[in-house]
Order: sequence, then C-alpha cells, then structure tokens
Amino acid sequence: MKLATFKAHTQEAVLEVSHLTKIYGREITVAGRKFGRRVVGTLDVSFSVRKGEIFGFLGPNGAGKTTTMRAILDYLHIQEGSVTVFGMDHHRDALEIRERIGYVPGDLALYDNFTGEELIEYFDGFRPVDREYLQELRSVFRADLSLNIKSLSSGNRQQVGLMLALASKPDFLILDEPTSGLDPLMAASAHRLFKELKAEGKTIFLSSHDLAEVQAVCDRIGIIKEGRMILVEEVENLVSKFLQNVRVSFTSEVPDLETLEAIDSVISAEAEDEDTLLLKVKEDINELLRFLTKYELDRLSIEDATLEEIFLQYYE
Amino acid sequence: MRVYLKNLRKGWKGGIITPLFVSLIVPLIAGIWPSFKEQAAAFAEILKNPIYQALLGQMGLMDITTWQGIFYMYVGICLEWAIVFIAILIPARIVASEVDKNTLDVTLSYPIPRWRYLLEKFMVYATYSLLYPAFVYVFAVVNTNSLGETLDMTVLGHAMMGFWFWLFALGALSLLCGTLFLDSNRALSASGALIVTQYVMTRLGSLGDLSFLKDYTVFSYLSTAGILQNGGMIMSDLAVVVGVGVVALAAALYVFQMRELAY
Repeated sequence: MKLATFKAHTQEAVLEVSHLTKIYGREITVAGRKFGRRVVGTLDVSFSVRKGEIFGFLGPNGAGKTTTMRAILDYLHIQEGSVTVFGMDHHRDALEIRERIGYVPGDLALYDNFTGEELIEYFDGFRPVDREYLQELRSVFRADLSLNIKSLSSGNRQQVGLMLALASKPDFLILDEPTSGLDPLMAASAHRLFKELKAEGKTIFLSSHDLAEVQAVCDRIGIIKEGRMILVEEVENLVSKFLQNVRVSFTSEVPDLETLEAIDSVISAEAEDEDTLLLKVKEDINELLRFLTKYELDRLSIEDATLEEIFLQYYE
Repeated sequence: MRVYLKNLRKGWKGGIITPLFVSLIVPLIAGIWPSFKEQAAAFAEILKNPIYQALLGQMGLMDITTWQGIFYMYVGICLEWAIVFIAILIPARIVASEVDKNTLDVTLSYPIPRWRYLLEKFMVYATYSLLYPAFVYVFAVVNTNSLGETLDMTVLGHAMMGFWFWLFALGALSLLCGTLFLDSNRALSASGALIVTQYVMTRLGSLGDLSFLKDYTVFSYLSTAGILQNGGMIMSDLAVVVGVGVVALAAALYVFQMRELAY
C-alpha cells in the first residue's frame, strides 16, 4: 500500500526547472575596452522534483546551488529558462506559490529583537501555523522559543528557522543546508521529520554538503558544478552504477597505467604495489574486463565506491 | 497590517524617546526666555548680519524680541536639523539594514507582496514621525501658558503639520535611495547627499543671487516662516511637498517590488 502511494506521488512534478540561466553582472565594451564583469550563477540547468520525494542538491561552494534556490523563490531575475512550482510560474504566481512553501536559507538570519514565539506568531499571519504540528516540533527541537533570537546559539537559531519553515506543514520545502550547525542528535531528529513529511506526501528540495545526510534522507540527487547540472540520479543507483573500485593483482606482466587510463570507463589507475593496481571505473566495466583477459591475473576484486568517493569524483 | 503593528510595537522605545528628546528644546527655550527677553533687542541687531541671515534662512526674519519669534526661530531650526538627520538615517535603512542582516530572505518567502511589506514598514516611520510635531505642540501649549505669553495655536498646528509633511516627503526620498542601493552605506550616502544638498540649497537660496535654488528644495515649501506669514497652511506648498512624497514613495515601492534581490 505504501509503495502504491509513493508511486502515485512520484507521477507529479512539484518543481520543474528548465534551462535555467542566471548570469550576474554586466560587461560593457566601450572603445574596445571591457568594463564590468559577468559571473555565471547557473547555466542551462534543468531538473524536476517529484511530489513526495526528497531531492538532494549538491555541489561545491559557488557551484550555483543557492542561486538556483533563490531563482526558484523569484528573488533573482533569470536570463533564460523557466521555473514552475506546482505548475505555476515562479514569477507571475509567486504569492500563490509562497502560500505552499517553507524555506530555510543557507545563511539563516532572523530578527534579533524577536523571541522565537513572537516570530512564529508574526509569520503565522502570513502562512497559518499548524498548531498541533508546532507542538510536535517543540517536543523535537530543544531551542527555547521564549528567548530573544540574539541570545540563542547558531544551532538553536537554526532550529528556530527549521521550526518556522515546517510549522505550517507546507507542501514543498526548500532547505539550503538545513542541518548546518545542528548537533548530531538534532540533525538526526530533523532527518526523521523530513522522512515523516515525505511519507505524508510533502516534497523536499534540500542542499547539503553532508553526504551521510544525503544518503540517509534523499531519494534522488542532482549535482551542480560551475553552474551546470552534471548529474541527476537516484541515490540507490548511484553507488552501484556510477563508480566501482577494482583491485587487480597480476602474476607476471603488469600493464602500464597510461594504457589503462586510456580505456574510456577507467577514471584513474594507481599502483598499490609492484603487482597490484587500484582502478576507479565509471559505469561500464566490461571494456576493462576484456582488456584484462590479455594478462594473467592473481586476484580481482570489484567493490562499489562509497558515496563520498562518488561525490568527490564529481566535485573535482 | 501585521507588519505595521508588529514593528510599531517593537520600535516603541526609539520611536517615542527620540521625538521626546528633540521636543525638549521647547521647555529649554521657555526656561531661558524670561532672562533672554531683556537682551533680545541687542541679539536681534546681531542677527541682521547677512551671514546669519543666510544661515538661519527664513527663520532669521523672525522678530526674536517676542516669544513667538524666539520660539519659531529655535524650534524651527532645531526641528529642521532633526528632520535632516531622521530622514537620512531611518527610511534609507528600512530595507538596506534587512539586506545587511540577511533577514529579508525568510520574510519574503512568505506570501506578502514586497511593496506592501515596505509600505507597512514605512508607515511605522511615518507614525512615529507624527510624535515630533505632536510633542512640540504639547510642550508649546504648556510652556506658553506657564510663561503667560501668547502663541497662535492654529498656526502652530499648521506649522507642525508642515514639519510632518517634510518628514514624509524627505523620508520617502530616503526610502527610494534604500531600495535602489540595498546596502546601508551606499543608501545612507545617497540619501544624505540628496537631503543635505536640498538643505544647503535652501540656505544658499537666502543669498540674493542664488534665490532660484530655493525652488528646487522641499525645505522651501511649507516652511514655518511661510506658514506664519500666510497665517495657516499654504495649499500650493502642501501639494508640492505631498506630491514629492507620494511620487518618491510610489517609486520606492515599485523599485522594491520589481528589482532582484541579488546580494
């Protein structure tokens, strides 16, 4: 039954980003001299987030994650492409969309002179808070809502930020590094909440540098690098499909590393000792295996790479 | 009106204490008036110097041998300076300080139009600005009665309204600077340049050959001296000041609604 519900959810896209291009700044040429500077925020980024899934958005610092999120929220003017949320245009229907989303920015800042309770009351007027769920959130998070925001630690502020975003139980959550600054226990509680929301059919789009978090909560991930989306894949498939560590020991002749690296699927090759090589292989391993039949092997082991190794592969 | 009411409640200390402090000029003048009255004639002769006339502008034309004259000269100058500082410092930072602190990101993710958010925050400024003329009016009534002097309270009311309209119009210009630059330092610099330049133009306009400069500054319309001379509100001046304020406010709301928040 649960599987059927999940499949029904996944048929509908909550967020659709199509060919999103955002360039910051301007460059003007006067009398052959260039003035100003153009910086790529995102370039031709396309992906979608389905209803009822948790989509992880990853990439090195400055890759375009926050730009994409701010463009979705209509804070930025995009040069090309389109963004729809719940089938509505992110710019034209911004107010309707905001009735159904919760947002935690990466560099979270709240009004210092408000208490947590005052903030919740204040924002309740814009997007009504689910009182029952708020009670549940208060029992999960430890931040004292009766204190002024300025007297809270950064971790507690982050908890208040999460409570604000979640309190109205929005259909779609946009979370920019939502657990940064939280202790492991609070982070685990946040992950549990995300999964519960997902089970209720809510959709979450989150960016993170915490790979354990991504592996623990995300259904799919997208990796962005230098403004371009370079991969969108199910987390489950990622490990088996994308990178494998192959350790080969040879009984006599050992092939040279350059020849091995010339094989399309081999990303890197290094000698572990004089008879053993360690190879990182991407996607199709058959070409490598065919090549290895020319040599006498002592041992061969093939292991899935860790998620961290896969990410580093894409980050570099 | 949630943004307005919440910020009104949150800002009450600064919103009340500052106008109260500024309006203490009235009891201060009332305190020195009995002893000053005897030397007023000699002081009035000194003020006829053209440099003083330029510095004081139309306020320098007051007859300071009377309570009305000394009251309007000192209160007028004090309020003008207060307005210059208040209009530069507060409205320009309404948005810019939120950008500096990054608090807009969360707020604008809620379903409230940006223009309405800005308007409600500006209304908080406009509301507390009412306290400057209100406190001055109350202190003027109390002190005039306690001194046994006379002051036309209707004209005083109109003069005080004139000050509030200045705060509104100059504040709207300052707000526009804030929305254009979205950065406290640059917004304050632009707002300061805009308002101080107008103030200086008014003063320079008091010198014969440069009188045309006065036509281009808000301070030349709805001036206290003008209202006193007219015996009440000058409707054409009111239209100019309100017009400047409304256009600047509308421009600020439009700019904030339409511009991208790339910072």
